[in-house]
Amino acid sequence: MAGVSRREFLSGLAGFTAAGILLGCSGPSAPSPAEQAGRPVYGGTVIFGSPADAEILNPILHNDTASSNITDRIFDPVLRVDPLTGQPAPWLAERWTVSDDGLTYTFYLRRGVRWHDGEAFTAHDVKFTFEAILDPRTRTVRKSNYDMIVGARARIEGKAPETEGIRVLDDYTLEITLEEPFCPFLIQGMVRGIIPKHLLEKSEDINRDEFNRRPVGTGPFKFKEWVKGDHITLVRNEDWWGRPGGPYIDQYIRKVVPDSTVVTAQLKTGDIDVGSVEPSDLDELEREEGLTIYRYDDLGYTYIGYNVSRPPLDDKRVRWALSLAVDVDTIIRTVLRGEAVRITDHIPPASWAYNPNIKPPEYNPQRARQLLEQAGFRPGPDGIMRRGDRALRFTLWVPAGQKVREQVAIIAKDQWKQIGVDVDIQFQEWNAFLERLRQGDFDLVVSGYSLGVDPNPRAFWHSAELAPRGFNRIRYRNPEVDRIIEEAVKVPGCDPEKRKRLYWRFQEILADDQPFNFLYSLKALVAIKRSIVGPNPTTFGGVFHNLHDWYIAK
Amino acid sequence: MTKFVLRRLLQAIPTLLGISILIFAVIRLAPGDPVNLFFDPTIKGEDLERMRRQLGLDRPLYIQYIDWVTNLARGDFGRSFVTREPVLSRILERLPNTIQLSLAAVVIALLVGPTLGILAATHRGGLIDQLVRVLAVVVDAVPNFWLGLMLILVLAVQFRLFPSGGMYTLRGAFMPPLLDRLWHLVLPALVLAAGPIALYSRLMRTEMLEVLSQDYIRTARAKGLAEGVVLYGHALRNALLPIVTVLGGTLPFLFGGAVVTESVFSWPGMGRLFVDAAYSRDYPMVLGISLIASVLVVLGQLLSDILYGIVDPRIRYS
Repeated sequence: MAGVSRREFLSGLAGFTAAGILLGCSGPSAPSPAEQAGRPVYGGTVIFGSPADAEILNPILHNDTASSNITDRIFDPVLRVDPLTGQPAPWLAERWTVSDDGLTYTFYLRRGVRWHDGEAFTAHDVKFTFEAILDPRTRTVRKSNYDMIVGARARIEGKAPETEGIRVLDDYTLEITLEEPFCPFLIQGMVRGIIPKHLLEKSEDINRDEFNRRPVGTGPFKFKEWVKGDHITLVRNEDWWGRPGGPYIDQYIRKVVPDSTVVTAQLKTGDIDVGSVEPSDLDELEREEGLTIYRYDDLGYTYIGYNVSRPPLDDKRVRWALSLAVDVDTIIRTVLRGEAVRITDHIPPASWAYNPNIKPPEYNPQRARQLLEQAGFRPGPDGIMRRGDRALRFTLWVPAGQKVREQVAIIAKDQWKQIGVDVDIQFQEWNAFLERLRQGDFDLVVSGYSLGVDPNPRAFWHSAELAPRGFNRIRYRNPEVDRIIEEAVKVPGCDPEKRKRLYWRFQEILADDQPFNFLYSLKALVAIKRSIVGPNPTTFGGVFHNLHDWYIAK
Repeated sequence: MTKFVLRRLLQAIPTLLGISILIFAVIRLAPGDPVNLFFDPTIKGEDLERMRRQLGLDRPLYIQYIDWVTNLARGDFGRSFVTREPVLSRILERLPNTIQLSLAAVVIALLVGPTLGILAATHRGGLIDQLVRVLAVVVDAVPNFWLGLMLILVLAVQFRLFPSGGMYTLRGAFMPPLLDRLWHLVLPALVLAAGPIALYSRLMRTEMLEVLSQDYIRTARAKGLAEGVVLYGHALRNALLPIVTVLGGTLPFLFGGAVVTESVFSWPGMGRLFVDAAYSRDYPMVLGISLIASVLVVLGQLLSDILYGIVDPRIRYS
């Protein structure tokens, strides 16, 4: 929320759930890239320069990438998202089982895991964490991630002192029962960092507890200090369960550098070791001897959205005409210097549910004009297409200060003009822009969405999530899409192939309906000091998932 | 004098109350709200609704205002929506950093600005006068963020003379902490001082020229006093008056300038705290900072009035 610069927020849209809540690359037993590369050396500090400061260092309360960047190092989840496949994988739980009806999950937890203060970690901590999220007094937007657990609704509404479906069988075994099958449950609910019961159960108010400034976890790094607005320092947890001796580096520092130009400058001076790269600074940084540029695909994407509840945008032919008139490939080549992939719908190529058979609207102004004519529009005396007394004029809203999206808007306006559509561009401050979207007060917008690690698209495309309440801001309604979304989360056995087939159908419908002109998914670009060995940024793990494997070559 | 100060402080109360209504109205009528920024594909509409309720945003605006002012009267500024910490303690964490930066800027501006003005006045029409004039115009016209970035790119990245940001070295500091801090202070303070330097130098030049044409200066010179004594003993003191007047007005300006300078130089001050709070619609935080800034402005004005009396003994407070 606060403290998230728009830039970080946007990159957050991208790898949100991916980079945000995950931890760990290869399991502690498998040899990591660092170990393969040579003999790891202990010592040194890695400094990451990033625009925003963390907000609150409690994994059940925060909703910003800066905070999760820190809490993911301090806290361990029960399961982690495999950074390569995006599937759930063992972490604090060594293994888990699912009952045949898909309702009961049993987690077998590691023994010998200790909190940073020396206390033993048990299944009671896990139950405590989920109970704290569901507690009506806890101010978090995560409650609905768990509302499918038996008794969770009663708990959220304050009608039950605890959640019936979360049971501690013994110190190292936890059982969770769902009311109905919900395939994204593990990826959505079990990858959140676990907080210590012994430090927080007596808290008067978990929202305000001092713990949120000085966190204690079980993870590879321990909290050392937080100078607000300046930096956060974490140090090696020598007693980490994942590897004797803990991470190789002594310290990890997250430094606040609000201006992206200064991030680039500090990468060059060596004040910071890791920083994300704007496409416009790429050439400059690629010339630097001491830096390596890493690229990885992202789950976020940029679109031009059509307000489907406003005529004539309710007419599919008009939407298709607008999409066909914009030359997205040229935008990618010029504005984004090729550092993006073309997309066709809500699910980008980085996801396992991506449908490769769909073709994006090819730039074709003649076809666009034909479609407008089929929809009853004729060129007026001023060249603007009109139907009756109504000319094709729209307002396109763009978040101010997001350079790339501003450029996209300007190019699109110019190309729409060529098919006789007159578009007025308006820039607006980010939060005010989001309010406009929420209230539905727009014709066209340039904005971004992100897929989660699990591709469940409910939040954006189901008619139960219409704005102003939910995220379905263009007010898209399609009963078949609703049905597919519901069905895909309760496929028997959660068979990925069956889910994929449903999502493929969803993508076909969406691409055909063209509620958005789905534009591109940016590649995430990050510069890391060359002497650091071990980084292996991935779509599902982000940059720091294996920070405990990094070391600094002498 | 004490009575004067007390009366001015009492007068400030209704002013601040008025300001409080104004800033409350401005920030609350601006479109957007804190919950808009929550974004995650696993969140449902009901989570957002619940959050709005928990933040009390569903209550009528006037009730929210009354609550805020009542708590304020008890010294309670409320808690940040975002970090959930008390607003006042967050401000107090950051305020010293901004004051440090602003004071350094004021000191630099007061040393450099008037000096340039005097030089320009005593070399009227000459090369120095021209140079000072050009410098003042350029520095005044260039936006702070650009000036800051240029200084970083040239002095920090190219020549490695100064650090590129932050308040101190995080790794491998090679000078004692105090020096390290001063070293980090130079560039941001210089950028923040740029505007006031331009203002003071021009003001000083005008005033100096005016004073130098006065009869008593001619008398002093006729007495055979050394030029230095004439300039610094007689003329300067009188010419300084307007600078003292604008000094009070410079303080809020410095605060405003700090917003940009702090961002460019990664300086963890109030300015950045404010910008972040405004973007995220962290209402208690925005209100708290605005109010404290208003108090500072009122105090700044008072200070400049008091200084005025010290520099000019003809002014008496009653």
